[in-house]
Amino acid sequence: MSRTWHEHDPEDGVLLVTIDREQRPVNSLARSSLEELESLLTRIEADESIRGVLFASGKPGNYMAGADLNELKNLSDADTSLEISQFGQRVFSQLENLSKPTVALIRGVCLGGGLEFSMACRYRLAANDDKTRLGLPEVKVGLIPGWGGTVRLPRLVGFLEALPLILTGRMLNPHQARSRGLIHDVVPPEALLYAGQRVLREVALRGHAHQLWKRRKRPLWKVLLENRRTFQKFVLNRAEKRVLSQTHGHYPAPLQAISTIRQALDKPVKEKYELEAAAISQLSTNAVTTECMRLFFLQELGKKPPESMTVEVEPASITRGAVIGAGAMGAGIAVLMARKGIWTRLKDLNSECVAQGVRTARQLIDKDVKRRKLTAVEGQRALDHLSPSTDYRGLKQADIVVEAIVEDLDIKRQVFQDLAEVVSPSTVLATNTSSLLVSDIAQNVPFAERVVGLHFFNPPHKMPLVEVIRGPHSSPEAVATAVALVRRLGKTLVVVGDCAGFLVNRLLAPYMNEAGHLLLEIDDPLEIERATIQFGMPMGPLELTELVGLDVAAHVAQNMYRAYGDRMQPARLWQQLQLDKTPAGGTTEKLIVNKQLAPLVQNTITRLKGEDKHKSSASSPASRETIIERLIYPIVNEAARCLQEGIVERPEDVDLAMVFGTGFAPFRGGPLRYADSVGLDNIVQRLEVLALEHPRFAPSDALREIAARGGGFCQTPQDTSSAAVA
Amino acid sequence: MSRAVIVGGVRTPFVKSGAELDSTPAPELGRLVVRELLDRYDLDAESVDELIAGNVASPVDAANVARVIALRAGIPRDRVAHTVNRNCASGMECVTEAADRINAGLARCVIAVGVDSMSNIPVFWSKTFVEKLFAAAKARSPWKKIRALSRIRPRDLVPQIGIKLGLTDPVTGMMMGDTADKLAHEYGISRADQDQFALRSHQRAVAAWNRGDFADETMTVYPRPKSQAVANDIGPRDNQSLEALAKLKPYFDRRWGTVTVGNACQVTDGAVGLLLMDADYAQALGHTPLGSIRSYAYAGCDPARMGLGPVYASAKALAAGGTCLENMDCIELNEAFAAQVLACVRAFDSPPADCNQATSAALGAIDPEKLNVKGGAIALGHPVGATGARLILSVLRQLQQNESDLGLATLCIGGGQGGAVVLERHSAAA
Repeated sequence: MSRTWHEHDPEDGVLLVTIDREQRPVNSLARSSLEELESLLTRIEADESIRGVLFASGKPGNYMAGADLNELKNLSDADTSLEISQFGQRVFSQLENLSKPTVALIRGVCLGGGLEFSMACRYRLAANDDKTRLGLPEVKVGLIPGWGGTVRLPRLVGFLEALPLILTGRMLNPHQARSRGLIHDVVPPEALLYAGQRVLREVALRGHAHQLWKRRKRPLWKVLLENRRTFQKFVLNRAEKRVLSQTHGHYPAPLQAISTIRQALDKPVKEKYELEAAAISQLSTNAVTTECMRLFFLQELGKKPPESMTVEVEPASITRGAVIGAGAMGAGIAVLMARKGIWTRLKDLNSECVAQGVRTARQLIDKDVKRRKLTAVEGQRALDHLSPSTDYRGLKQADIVVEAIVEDLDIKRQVFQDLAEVVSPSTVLATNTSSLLVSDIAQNVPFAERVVGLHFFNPPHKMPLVEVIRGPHSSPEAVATAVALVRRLGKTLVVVGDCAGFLVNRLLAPYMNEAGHLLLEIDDPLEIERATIQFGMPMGPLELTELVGLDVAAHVAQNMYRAYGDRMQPARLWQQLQLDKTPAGGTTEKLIVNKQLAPLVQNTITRLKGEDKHKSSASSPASRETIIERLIYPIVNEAARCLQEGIVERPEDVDLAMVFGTGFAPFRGGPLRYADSVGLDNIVQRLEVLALEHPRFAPSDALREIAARGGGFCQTPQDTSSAAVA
Repeated sequence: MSRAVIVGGVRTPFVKSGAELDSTPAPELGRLVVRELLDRYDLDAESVDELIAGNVASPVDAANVARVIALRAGIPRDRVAHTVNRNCASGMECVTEAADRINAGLARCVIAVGVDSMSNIPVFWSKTFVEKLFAAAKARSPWKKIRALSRIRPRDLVPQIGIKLGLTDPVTGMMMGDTADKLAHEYGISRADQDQFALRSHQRAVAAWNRGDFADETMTVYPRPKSQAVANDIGPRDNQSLEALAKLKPYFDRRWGTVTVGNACQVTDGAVGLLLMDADYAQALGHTPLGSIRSYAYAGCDPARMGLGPVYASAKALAAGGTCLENMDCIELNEAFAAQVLACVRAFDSPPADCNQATSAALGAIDPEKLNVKGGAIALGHPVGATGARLILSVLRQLQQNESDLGLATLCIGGGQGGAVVLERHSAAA
């Protein structure tokens, strides 16, 4: 059995325990680790010679990542999860009630069960480094803290501070943790052990160690207010309303957390623990939890190079790069690179464009410094890694050059040919195109095998997904370098083949077109926005179009039509809107104002409807169900084609890309997982019916094939050993 | 035997203090040129052995500004960096020292940076004010605090302007401008001659910019807070006229002086970076050097006549290089003051009595057409710690442009010294 807790020989009555789960990259807590801790605590209690215990991590950058999700994800029955929650609660209570002082020496991430463990120690010291983060991110996998976290956190930081930490899973840096009272003090990393020993010495001397640090004083009003039942109930009600308005009730975990805390308010501690365990057992069988956990594993997978890749490039080996084009996209990508310590040349045509890029970069960094996401020194270091230029000098040593200029094939081709002359033959050239084919751009470029696509989503600093496009000519080394860059940037990646729209935009195109058709058929156009949001999309199609911009949307739609023919024929509405909008409106034409259709949209719809009246029957009042079918099933249909064509290797990639690229209802697990839950046969049938009226719905051979094979798109999620957050 | 060559160089635009670069402190200016050097010359930061910076104003938050520049520009942390200060010749000192280290076989690749942000020279409180503040801070009771504070007098609040202190010679008590007025009187240089020379400086600098001579020597910077591109020197005035210059009042000796702000150098921010390598190493990396240092010298002189420093230093440097002024195809003599340059021109022709007889033979008459052909500090400005390196870069680029062989870069140094470097163009045969 692999061990987690390693005792050192006690020195002067102080026992140092190193947490280091063998054969695992991170310290996660399996059932066996808890059993091991239980017996360790029993021994410590019995051993007269031990007067205090220090818990330090043996893994760099990781204190304790929480419960072992690989164990949790298979807990489909409520009883087992109830038992494991109760067992953890019992062991941590034993730790809390140990007659000897315990100190958690936190260095690296301390999350979920790890923080619950630390909260059960008598003292908590955290290292002052940028890897150390504390939090209870259980909600992110559809759970809530289950080992006493909902009880101990409010006790330590107060009701008001505890609630958002549990409901959002937000992580704190050591200073934030200290100012909230979650830890006792922040210590330089190299002084952690010494500090722990001093705490134990003080406890031996005086019975406590509070004179070692400045005591945190909570404002009196907060203390008085926070402990009033009526106030607590008021806060819980407010939180519940907020959660409902943000999640539309799709996610049970935060709601469960609120109701558990609410029920526990007047109860004795023992019952509080019981309520917590009961909540865990309820959530563990919930379908949403399963999907959230699967997505979590998929994302872990998306942080690694795909298994099919034969060459692997170490992300750390990328030290110099360049971005061509200093627009919002280019500057955004350059900042991402510079922040990760890649020396980045930012090139544009003239000094005005470059100046704009430099300004964008500084604004992005300054904002993060202001929000304390970066220290002033870190912000300066990031900007030091950017060097602006109007010519091609300084590119010879680049490991990778990312092009982010205007979407024009001829101009892009010219740039790539220019680049090919100035960079070294081993430099990877990546295009951030969204509508052109990588193979078209690479045409006539010497050494075209080094050209790949890197499709960042806008705005690049916020969007978690990057599509890496493997062109037909791209060498495995070039793809591996692009993958390494994306990993270095901390983004989720999906490797896709070269086709119009790549994966995400190709799947989104039928959805957007269908929305355009529906808007003309339905009586209340806003019903579509409501239906999609209720389905779990982050926004409706109109709002999305507004965000993307009518021009871009129309441009993409045209591209898709050219590439895929009739099934992607652009909806008339979008084209007409682009024509109708005021030319001065620029890119940000408002489509929805105050939750009402903008006059532009209203007028265009009315006019187009009027024209239609002569041709076809009156508009059919579509139910929300039909709306969703018409919008989502074409995505599934197109995804099946992508799988068949080998644009993506795994169905999981489709789900990952759509959830992280477009925000596709995460709790449904992505379009294919959703399709599986509906049943592929049902989808094929429905599409056939719809196709009677509009041939664009006709189910693809690929979809029929997969449906006929049975078993749906997705198998069970894959095993990853590093995962642990609950 | 190794031989140092100057592979190339780049500088920021020189910008009048308090203007576009006033939010860009010296470490940032230095980082900009070093990074641009690495990019322009496709140099891996790994191959840099050492960085030497010349700097006078010593930013209070970067005591060894060279180290700060090196680390921020990505020079590996196991390399060394130090800052040199020979007042106005600091930018020259860092280059000659870099060459010495390469010639001695101690390094293969050294970056020399001359940098000063005169906008960021602090203003101090007077010593008496600080003492009274401390006394108040130490006072035990509130009453004593108030008493201590009440001792502060209005005159205590007069700020000490750092830059004014820096430009005053503490040994003679003369400001730099006073030494120039002294030379003007001693050599009989009229106000009109000085203004005429200043005008020439502006005209030549403007013409050089218009010809595009500086385009490749400078880099575009995007300084905070506006991030607008600054591509040109802000100093040369194309509308400068003799009438406008004549209207200015003498600045230093207000009654009997002739030196004005118009015929003196401008107070400026800027940085210059030069890349020096061992000749073989440069060749191995595929670089064609601009040229190399044939000889150099620093010489001491009367602090009250510090403006004559170039005479003493040039004599020494030319003699050491086994050549003479006549062989120089271009001369950059720093324009601290028009009066001082014109005094030097005369003294080159007939050296002062205290100039070493053995070496002064190398001097001679300066051909005005070879002197500061692209203007000088009166138009471009004089960021103290950077100028020495700019003179060297200017001479090398001029030799390159004219395809001529030898040139002289020389300047006067506050405190009574001169610095001079004899440069030779790299010829393919060498």
